[in-house]
Amino acid sequence: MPSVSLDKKTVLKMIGKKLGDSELAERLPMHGLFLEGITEDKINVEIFVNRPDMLSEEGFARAISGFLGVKTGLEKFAVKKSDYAVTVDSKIAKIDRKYIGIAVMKGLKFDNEFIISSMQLQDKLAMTHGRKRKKVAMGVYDLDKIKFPLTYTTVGGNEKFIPMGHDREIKVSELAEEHKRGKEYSHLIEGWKEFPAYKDADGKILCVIPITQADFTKVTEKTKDVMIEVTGTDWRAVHQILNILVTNWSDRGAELYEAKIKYPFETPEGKNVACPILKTARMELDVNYANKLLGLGLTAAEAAKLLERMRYGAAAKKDKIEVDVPAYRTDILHPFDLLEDIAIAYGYENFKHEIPRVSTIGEETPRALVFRKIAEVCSGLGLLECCTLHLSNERILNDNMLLKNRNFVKTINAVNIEYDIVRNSLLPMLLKTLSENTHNEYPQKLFELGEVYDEEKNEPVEKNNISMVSCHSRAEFTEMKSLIESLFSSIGEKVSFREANHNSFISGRCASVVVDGKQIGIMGEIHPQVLANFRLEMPAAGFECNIDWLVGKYKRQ
Amino acid sequence: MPYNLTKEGKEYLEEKLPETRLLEEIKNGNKSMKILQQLSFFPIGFMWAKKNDWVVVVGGELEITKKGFLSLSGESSLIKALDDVRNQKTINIEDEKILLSRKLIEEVKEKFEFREKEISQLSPEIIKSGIWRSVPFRKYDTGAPAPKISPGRRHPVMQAVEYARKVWTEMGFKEMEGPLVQLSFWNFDALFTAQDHPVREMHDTFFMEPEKGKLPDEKLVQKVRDAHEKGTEGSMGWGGVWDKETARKYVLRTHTTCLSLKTISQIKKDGLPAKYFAVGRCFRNEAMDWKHSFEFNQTEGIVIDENVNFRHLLGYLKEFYKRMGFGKARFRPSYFPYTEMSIGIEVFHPIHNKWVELGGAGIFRPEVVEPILGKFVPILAWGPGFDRLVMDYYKFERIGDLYANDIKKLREIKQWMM
Repeated sequence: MPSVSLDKKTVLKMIGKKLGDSELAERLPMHGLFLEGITEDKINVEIFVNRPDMLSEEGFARAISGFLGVKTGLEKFAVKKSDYAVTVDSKIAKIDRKYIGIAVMKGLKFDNEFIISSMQLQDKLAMTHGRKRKKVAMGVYDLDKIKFPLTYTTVGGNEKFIPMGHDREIKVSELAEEHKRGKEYSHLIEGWKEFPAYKDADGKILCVIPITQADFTKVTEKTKDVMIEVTGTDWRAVHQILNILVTNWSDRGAELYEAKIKYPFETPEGKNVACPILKTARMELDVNYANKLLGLGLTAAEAAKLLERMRYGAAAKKDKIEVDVPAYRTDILHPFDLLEDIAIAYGYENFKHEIPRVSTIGEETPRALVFRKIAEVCSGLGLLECCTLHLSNERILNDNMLLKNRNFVKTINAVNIEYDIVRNSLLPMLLKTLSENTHNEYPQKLFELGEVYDEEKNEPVEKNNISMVSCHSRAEFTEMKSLIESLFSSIGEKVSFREANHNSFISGRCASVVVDGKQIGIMGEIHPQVLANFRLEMPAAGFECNIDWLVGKYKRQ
Repeated sequence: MPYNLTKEGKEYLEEKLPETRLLEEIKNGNKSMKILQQLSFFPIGFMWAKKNDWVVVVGGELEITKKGFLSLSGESSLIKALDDVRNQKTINIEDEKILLSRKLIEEVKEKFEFREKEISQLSPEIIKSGIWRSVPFRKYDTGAPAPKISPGRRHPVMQAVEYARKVWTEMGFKEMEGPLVQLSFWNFDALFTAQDHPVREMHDTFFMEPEKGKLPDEKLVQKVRDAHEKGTEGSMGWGGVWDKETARKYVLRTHTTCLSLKTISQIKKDGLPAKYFAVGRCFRNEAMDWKHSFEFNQTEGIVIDENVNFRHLLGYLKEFYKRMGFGKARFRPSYFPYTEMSIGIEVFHPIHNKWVELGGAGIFRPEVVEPILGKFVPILAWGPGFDRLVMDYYKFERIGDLYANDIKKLREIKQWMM
């Protein structure tokens, strides 16, 4: 969830209503955002990813103003005709960043507040909706410095330009190593020979997508008129981002001019596209459908009013509402989405809670039953239940246990490499727990029930196990055997023991645990080398077995 | 083993053994059985004299054998043993056996000399002897510290999970279960989470080796693909191309919601209405801090019924949190790719005196429901975190403490009293 810091004065001015901090703190979250805090001059909020239009003061204030009933209904944005032309080179057809959105805005005031705001908006849009520039990247250019018509084309690695923040020319191919953004996004251009780029009428490189603009195009405090360029792999996302930028900045009082784009290939809007495309999407909503799912009894007119407070255009016609969805909304995929906005405008706090009469029979799983019964017996035997993590590592599961298992189910991208393997056994987890409790009083007797994983035939296989350990100065084989026999007789199962060999246990004091003629687990005195590996100075006896067979016995027919 | 003489033993030591006395009577001329039988010591004396081959019965009279005379000439070994016992000397094992069987000696019982002025520990001897009637009990300092006991117990998190299970089943919910390692298909795609959604990036989700598994049947996969690419009826979908290989990737489930989806996909036509719940471990690939852990528990619930609505969703949640001890719960708009009327759940924490964020809920979108159920039916769904409730109840400072298994804490922590 992106968090932004918004200028409070600007927001309040744009909302058009005086609001105290406590009122803001109470009302803002009810629109659907996470308020981090309000300071003297800032509103710090996390915006949910479905509302990128609210990532700057203008869109934020537009939404909140409607929500509070100050300015409601659809906001209209005027787009002036112009001759700003952009041609997309046929070379672009071969690459995946083939869609562009361009617009010109005049009369912006780049004071300190707007510079911060506009940078923040572009940055957050690129990170979220633009998927860290992988899907969409954008730039804002000083209109006076560039000469239309533009070309969207590709440049070779040997072509040179002065990238943003530099004072000397470098080769395009050097961006990944020499430029700040080039380093940051080098993974996006790895292996490229041709780089998508805009050139102006003089053939000057304006930018290399998706890395950086040319330094001479940058916006300064003197800039009033800008060209906005959005480029990406996804038609819808490109235009949504352009629409958010131009509608938000229109609310700053700037004039918006269209750009005419000529593609050499077909797009969802044909080959000749005038940008930005601010037309609203028309949806029809049946008020009965809304009432059924919301549990309300609204008339179509009432529902339309609520939609207007969420800044839609809405006209009630009998039971139907014709809804115009603004072009900056990225999240309205289905009339179902309108219901949520009706609910927000109605106020989540105003819904009456009710438990319906849906008659069903409750039931736990056999696994839950077996786990609980075993846990009860083990507690009665004086053992403490543990809840360890499911992720561990090879040192604990293999090296410490003197084992050489290879059939682990592993994570391939764990942030913390201490926890990169799904445990294949509970016993090492309990021994680790003992090793972390050597300062606590003995005897220490523990058990755990839970999932373990093995890789079998290239598939992850989940199993449910129980493990017990007893650790104290006189812990030994017979004590553990008594515990196991008591556990199994308590749950009505006959257990027997067969001499076995296992690296983690002392040879000659280790047995396999057998039920119904099947070997289901292992028990014995823990090998002193294993104890030493876990830095344990007390003897210990341990046991682990699978219990899926037992769970199977309690499945309901 | 120290012994004392029994009453009988003392008597024999003073008056000789009954079998010896019998021999002496015979020796003195009283041979007739009829007369001898009148003597009090006759039954025991005769029994042992016969056993020892000291006497034979000849026509109603007793005669001393050679062995019998021999016994009269020397000192009896049993009398010697009784004397030794009186003098607290050790006796040989043969004699010990006989004396014990004849109940002439008994093990020394510590007690009986009760010299204390007060009774401290009440004992079986004191109870039996009745000493307690005359000797007063020592008064204890009832405030003195008592030694700690290390009980066997259930883990605090498991106690809470058991309670939640009870609450859900009482409310008529059936439990769902399923593996921790899931296909991306169930964890994300079936939940209409776009394939390029940030949550599916490497740093949020654990991806696995083995890397990929088998997708469910082709028809279902095709429906999910269509929902993503084109949308279900009335929906725009996400656009773009849905990649089957991405859906085949195994992940450690990031939420228990994947269990709900699998469950819904298996519901039979006459299986409605239905209510299901789960409480289970989930994973997020992030570093640990006090609020976050890469492993955490979620509680999941779904209600599938033609006539349920948003108010019912709020009603179920309110009831659950009430039963979990949070009387005040509030619901705010939130966002999840797979629900509308998405809800952020917050409960009021009476000790911290603030609202605490717990997680999400909503009604599944048509793009989620239609592909897996075949038609749209309202499905109320929630999957808030569970550990936060447990932390608050036990006053754990860090979520990591829940899984630290500090044995001292596990022994001493209060029971989940709900």
